[in-house]
Amino acid sequence: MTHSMHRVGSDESFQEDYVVMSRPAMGINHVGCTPKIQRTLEIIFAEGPTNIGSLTTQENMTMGLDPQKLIAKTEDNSPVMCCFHERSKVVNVLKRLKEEELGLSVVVTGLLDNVQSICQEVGLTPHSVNISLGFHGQD
Amino acid sequence: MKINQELCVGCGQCLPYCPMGAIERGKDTSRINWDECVECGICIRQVKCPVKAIYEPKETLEWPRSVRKVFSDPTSKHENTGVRGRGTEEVKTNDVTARFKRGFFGIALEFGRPGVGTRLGDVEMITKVLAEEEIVFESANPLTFLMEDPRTGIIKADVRNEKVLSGIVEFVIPQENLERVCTKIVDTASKAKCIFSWTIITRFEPDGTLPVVARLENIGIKTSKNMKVNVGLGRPLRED
Ligand code: SF4
Ligand code: SF4
Repeated sequence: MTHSMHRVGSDESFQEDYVVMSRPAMGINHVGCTPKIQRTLEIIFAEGPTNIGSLTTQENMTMGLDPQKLIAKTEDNSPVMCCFHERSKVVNVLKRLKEEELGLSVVVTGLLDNVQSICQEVGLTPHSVNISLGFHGQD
Repeated sequence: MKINQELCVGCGQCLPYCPMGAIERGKDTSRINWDECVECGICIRQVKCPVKAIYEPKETLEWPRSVRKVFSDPTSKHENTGVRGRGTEEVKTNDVTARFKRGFFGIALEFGRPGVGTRLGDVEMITKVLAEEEIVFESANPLTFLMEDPRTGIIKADVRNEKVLSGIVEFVIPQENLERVCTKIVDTASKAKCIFSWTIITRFEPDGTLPVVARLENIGIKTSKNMKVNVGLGRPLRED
């Protein structure tokens, strides 16, 4: 439904299209992780995402989401969800997250070849993947 | 959700917001079709109703109606049901949870979508068949919690008729069962004509390859190249 990997389109249309999400694992590393989520958001905002959505403030950037307000409202279980249209920005965000060793999980949705090449450039080993098998049925 | 008939002026502004088309315009006022409303909360959050007539009645939070909100409203908190969200963290935190290990595949089927929704009982078409395959449904998934007995895949009688925006069934299979289970799902889907999207979760091989793609192609299942990749930044990192 809303999952990033179910979006359909030609390979061409996904060339410069990345969804980046980050979150702690509830019950494992979520307690006290608010500063890490806030830092993740700062890094993302510094790079300039195409859009960012928030379940906490119920807003996105096209609706006039205020970065400072979003950062202030962050809690230990707030997921980070944003998208970029430039490969270089995704590389920069992942580099910073790695350097600062924040330790929150991060998923990047995009064409596999592109995401793997980004990981290689940043020095990351992709761990696992969720793959869409499409849709079944009819209305 | 309900519309206070004393207050509503029938302006119709709220109608286009409902993903289920559950708001109906009457002669002088608008009403919400109680049976079709999935309690997603979009109307009450987004519509600037000039007279604030949209409200959440207490029945919304009473069992079994309360499950609608849990499955349809991503902002809902789930204290009253004991159910947490529609699904699990799936691949998003797998580098830390190791829920999906090498040698196994995770499969998730999501029933319903905006505009269509699903009755919780409808997912049984697939869950009963999967149960025959001795599949173990994910215990942290809210739909598993709503099964009478996860070994049969049968949904509890009191929630069967509850309508939700979508519901996710999740389970893990040993990798040798891939072809058998996926073929069964495709066969059942074509007979039952139920609507669902589905995904598979797997670890990358140490050399970065994904053998599952070719195995699925061999049985006629095409995978998307647009994939959701856990890049391995979570700590503490769990390999298996
Ligand atoms: S927006 Fe308010 S007043 Fe207008 S039809 Fe909807 S409930 Fe009634
Ligand atoms: S809660 Fe959702 S489904 Fe129900 S009337 Fe409002 S928008 Fe429609």
